[in-house]
Amino acid sequence: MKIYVPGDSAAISVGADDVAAAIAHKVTGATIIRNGSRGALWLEPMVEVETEKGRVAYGPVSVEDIDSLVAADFMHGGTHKLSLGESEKIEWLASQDRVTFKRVGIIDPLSLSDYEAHGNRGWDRDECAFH
Amino acid sequence: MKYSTWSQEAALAVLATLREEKGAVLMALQALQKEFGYVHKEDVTLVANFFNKSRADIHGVLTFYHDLLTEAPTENQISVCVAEACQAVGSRQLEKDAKAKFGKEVHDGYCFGNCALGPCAMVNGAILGRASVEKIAQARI
Repeated sequence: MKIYVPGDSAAISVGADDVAAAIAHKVTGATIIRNGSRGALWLEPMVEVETEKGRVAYGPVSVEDIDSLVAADFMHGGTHKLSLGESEKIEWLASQDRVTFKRVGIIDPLSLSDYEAHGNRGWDRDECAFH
Repeated sequence: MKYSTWSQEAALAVLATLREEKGAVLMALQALQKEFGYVHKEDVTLVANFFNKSRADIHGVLTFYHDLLTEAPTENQISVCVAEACQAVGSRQLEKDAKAKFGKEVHDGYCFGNCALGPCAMVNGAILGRASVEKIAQARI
């Protein structure tokens, strides 16, 4: 079970570290990924979970919300007062065509395998030389 | 935060680590503040001699940057951003309330780059978005 809690400075300034710690404490078996913020800062900390229909978002989440989120089974996309629906369908995000910030918020910024899994090989010098 | 007690020898030892640097006045003042928590009044002469500059040059740098302190710091260091974006969402009132509650610990700040989550404050180096007096109180040591 993958749960995304942004680890950028803006999200941290509104408690993302505490939210990530609370989720780690309350949800057993969760892999918490500290992604970048997708930029919708008014929704930060915006927590996302990976579900069968794609990533589902909740926000802005505070430590006090974690118990009710767990009760609503947010780990599997359950409905909660902070539900934002599927991340990709949030209107402000869906209307954007991202270029330089294409991967921010999507992948674990410190994971090369995650970077590769999204079709990127830019870090590989030999690959670059041939393409 | 724990700092060393200032002495001339200790200050010179800090400066000695910057001997190879050119034009490192600001770095020197920052290094002294990191070591002692503030820049001691005698440091101005020490830094001037060390870098072969005038005391006026060093004084100019020291007083230009608000983040360089000339007095021993309070246990908590709180800055409330009073730049435009934060003012627009009430930081002047927050600053007033924070000063009333935490006194000399509170200083003005000028933009922490977190404008979308204002009003912002910085408590002991950690940035607080959507800051309030209650949040500042929680973040203090």
